[in-house]
Amino acid sequence: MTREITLSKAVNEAIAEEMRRDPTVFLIGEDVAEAGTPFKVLSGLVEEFGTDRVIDTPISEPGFMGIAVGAAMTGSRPIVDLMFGDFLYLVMDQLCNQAAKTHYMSGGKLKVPLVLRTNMGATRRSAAQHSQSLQAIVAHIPGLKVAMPSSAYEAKGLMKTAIRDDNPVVIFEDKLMYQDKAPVPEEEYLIPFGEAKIKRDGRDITLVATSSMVQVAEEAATTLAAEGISAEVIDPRTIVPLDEQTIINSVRKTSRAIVIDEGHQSYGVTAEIAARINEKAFYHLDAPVIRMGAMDVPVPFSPALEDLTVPTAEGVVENARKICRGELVHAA
Amino acid sequence: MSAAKNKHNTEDYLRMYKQMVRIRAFEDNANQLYLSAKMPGLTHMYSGQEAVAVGICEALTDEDRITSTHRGHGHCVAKGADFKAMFCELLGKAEGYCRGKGGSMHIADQSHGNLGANAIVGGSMGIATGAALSAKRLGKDFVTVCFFGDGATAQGLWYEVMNMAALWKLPVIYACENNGYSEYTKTEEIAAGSLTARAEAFGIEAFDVDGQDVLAVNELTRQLTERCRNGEGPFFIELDTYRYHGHHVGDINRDYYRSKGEEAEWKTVRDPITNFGKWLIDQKIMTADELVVIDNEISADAQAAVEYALKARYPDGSEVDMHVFAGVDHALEYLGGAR
Amino acid sequence: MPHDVIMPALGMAQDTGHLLAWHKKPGEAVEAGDILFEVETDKAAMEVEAQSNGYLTDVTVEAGVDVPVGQTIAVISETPDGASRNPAPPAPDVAPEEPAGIEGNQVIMPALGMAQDTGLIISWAKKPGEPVSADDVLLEVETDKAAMEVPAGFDGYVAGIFAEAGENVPVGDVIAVISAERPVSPVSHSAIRSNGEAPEEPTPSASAKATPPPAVVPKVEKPSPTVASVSGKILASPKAKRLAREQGLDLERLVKIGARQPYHVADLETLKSQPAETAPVPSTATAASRRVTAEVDATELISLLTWLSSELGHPVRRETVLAVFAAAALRAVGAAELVIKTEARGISRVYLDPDSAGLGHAKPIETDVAPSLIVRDLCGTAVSSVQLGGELTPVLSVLGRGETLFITCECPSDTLSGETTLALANGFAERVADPLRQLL
Repeated sequence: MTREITLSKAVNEAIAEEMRRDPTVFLIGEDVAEAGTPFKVLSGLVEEFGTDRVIDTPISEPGFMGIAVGAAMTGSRPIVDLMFGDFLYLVMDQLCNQAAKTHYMSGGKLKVPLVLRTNMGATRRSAAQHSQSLQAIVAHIPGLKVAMPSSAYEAKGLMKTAIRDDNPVVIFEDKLMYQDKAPVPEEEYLIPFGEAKIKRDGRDITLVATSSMVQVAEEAATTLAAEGISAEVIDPRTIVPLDEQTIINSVRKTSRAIVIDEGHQSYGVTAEIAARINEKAFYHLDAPVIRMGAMDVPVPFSPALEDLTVPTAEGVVENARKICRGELVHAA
Repeated sequence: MSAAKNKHNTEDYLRMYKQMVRIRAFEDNANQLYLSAKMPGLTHMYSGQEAVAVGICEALTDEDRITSTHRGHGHCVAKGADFKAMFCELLGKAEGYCRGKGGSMHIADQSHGNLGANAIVGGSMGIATGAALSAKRLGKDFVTVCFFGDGATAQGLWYEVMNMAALWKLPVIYACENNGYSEYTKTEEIAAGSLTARAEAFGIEAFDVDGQDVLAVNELTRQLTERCRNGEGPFFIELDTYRYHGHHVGDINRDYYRSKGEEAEWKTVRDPITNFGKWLIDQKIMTADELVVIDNEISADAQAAVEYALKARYPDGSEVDMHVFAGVDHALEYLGGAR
Repeated sequence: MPHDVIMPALGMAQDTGHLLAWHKKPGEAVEAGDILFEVETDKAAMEVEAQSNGYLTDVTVEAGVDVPVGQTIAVISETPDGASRNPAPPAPDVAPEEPAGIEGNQVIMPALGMAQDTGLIISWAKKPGEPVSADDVLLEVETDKAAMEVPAGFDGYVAGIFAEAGENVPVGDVIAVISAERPVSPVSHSAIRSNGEAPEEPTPSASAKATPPPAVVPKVEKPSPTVASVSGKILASPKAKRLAREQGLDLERLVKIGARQPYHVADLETLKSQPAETAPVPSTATAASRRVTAEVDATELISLLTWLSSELGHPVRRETVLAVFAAAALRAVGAAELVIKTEARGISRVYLDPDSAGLGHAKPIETDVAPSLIVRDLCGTAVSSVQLGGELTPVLSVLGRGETLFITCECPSDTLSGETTLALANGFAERVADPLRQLL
């Protein structure tokens, strides 16, 4: 049976199911218990699991991140709730120097099975310190896996897989999508890491998009279809590991690609995927691969400015149209 | 030397003596390996602080956890590690505790509850506290001791995790080895007020103990681990001690921050091994000759382990992308696409 | 037990220590902890203590000398005369000395034939130490059943010869060094040393990189990876360039008709729709096609097909195997992704990279992509010779008569060079004649 539920509910269900299944799983973070987080994603969990397993912390991100690493090394499977993705900068030592490297530094003796769930995404008028999409920074660190659900369905399946993974996994949820509904089976399912999903088949151009940018790409594909341009939309679902093969196969077929992600464009996820396409499908390319990331500026507050910084469906359509017609997006 | 309690038997004393001598022997050999350019990288000597590691670890079981520091060989030996695997790790050999991937500053010995040394000063304070949270949440009996130096008390992380440990009554002991120097700077120049008062501000019971007196350290730790297991944790101990070498093996010219006279005084008057040896003789537990036999045996063990490690093989190049992810044999293959 | 006294590593990034002074004399008794010597490093003097009891002996380094870290500079022995150490060479702890490198320009065994791995040295025309000029014959090499003279390539002196007459030397191996200065002690030895080790390469000096010998190497032209343009670079997508190359289309013609750059795959259609006659330079048109024929024994191919069919449990078509051989031969001359079309008994099939699938496993695909090469299996027909010309793509035709197969390779002159056409025809013929080569 499948019903439509919100992304928020899907995350909540995934965590609840895994906590019922495995008593070593617990939640830790700021205002996760009675408050259920500011986005209310975790509402109701403390009633079922108690404050022993849904643990409110002081506002001490490095502290509870470090505690989660130690707990993970000693038989627990913590889920760390980081209220805003921007706070990743506060936990970098514990996440990148400790969690990510422990398995390697110990020659495989110690494991750190933890999930860090946090969020991303601009256009909530939250300005530069509550709007960032920092997935590229985390994806750069060997030892961390990174998942980016694009709908309620993905959010649930990826969360369950993350909780069962024996490694540190960072999940970025787009905070604008918490109320978006999608069909989600009532039966249990998991989504394996490293398996992209072809959201739409196409022949003329490949749109690789992450998280909420999948919606942007699908909207663009609909517009393009009306103009006779057939766009294939691919959602990698995890950027570490990346299902390179599905992307490469698609580009070999379509000969053109645009990569869309809401992180800053420079040195970002779009750059990485574009580079891999270039390396592995070069002789199939009939146009330069186009990156579409967030503008390389801190996220501004004013709506008039903020909306200019993120990739839009119109922008994707415009670029797709140009490269399918053989026009230039950038200099020849 | 503190008064001996009857519950200690000869075996315990002997073990403490041996473990301290083992640490000293390990460090002397590690220093020689560095000086003779046989060891890659550099290392931080524990010599002088042996009574801290041994006094504490002899009060712990294999189930009890410790987190260690960049100056961690002493903790590792005291928690029961094997010389050969340690020297192999120091030399980057495949038989090292971490298959040569960690080296001196990252030795972890899961089998004896050593969650690993840490090259970030104060980096393991969260980990130790998290281990204590695991113990409490999962109903396990183990206590975690978090070793760190006086320098690490300047890290903000400590105050965050002490706060939570106190709020949640976690079975963790924060053991601050105050060796008087934060790298190349006197501790009094980097620490305002008193260290014990900092723990007490969180309502954590704090103790100050002579870190050169192995029996005093051991006795206190026995009491505190017991109380931790009864849900009375966390605790803080400041252990006054001294490092004989520089901050690291290459820190030879150190007149600008401490005098040779000061070093000589600690070595001659307050050496934890010499003093404990004298006490064992005074108490007629051991004779001087018996101690020499022990010293020589351990010295030979250490040298044999060094010889073994020097001859041991390096890890195969194919191991370079192993152990990046648990459950993934080779990370590079995996990262290029899971299928 | 004697203990080595070693120059210690004292600083953070120190390679050597300057020995300022010894505080003990050779033969003097020392105790662990005694100041033994003084070292200067990182702008500071430091005293180094003895690590064991005994007598200072075998002092190999005097005060005032810079010593590499880790080097043994003395020994603390059990007796004052240091005789306790057996053969007792307190040698510096360094690797055994390598024979000194010979400075100069290296001469390597040249690649002379099409598919040559080694060259047999017939004789040296110069002796070690003799002066040579670049054009002088240095040695004579036999390859592909022909003797060739190899010039020195450099002016100077023969400083070293590393292979003897009668030895077979791998292509690319250094066989001699020509130095600018008259060598003090020129070297000469066999490529295979008496201990069975591979010939050592003389340590090249910074200025002496291996240089291929000039002149005698036949220049093998690879298929041009990009479309040359008289007026400079043509801007085209990687895919458009690849397809143009594979289909023998000249992007230059798009430039001439004034099509706007950069070119994409769609522009190739414009190019194809251009009548060949309108091409401004008709002399380069398809009329000038290259043709090579070859004759091979069919026995091995027939037994391979029989064996494959029984091994795989289904009949394996001859043209499928021929497509694999053709792809492998074409790849060997530098092509990347290969679309091979077969034509046999009126049926056409297209294979993508059939050589990567393995014999008997190549499966036909559906594609609009023009083939890189066509294989025509005309065995069993009455055709006895082909010279069709006018094709856009290289064509390999196979005719059969008795136990013999006749292979004809035709290429439009603007797709493959003469050398490459030859190599393709020969590579294909060799594979048909000896299919085992393909299996291995």
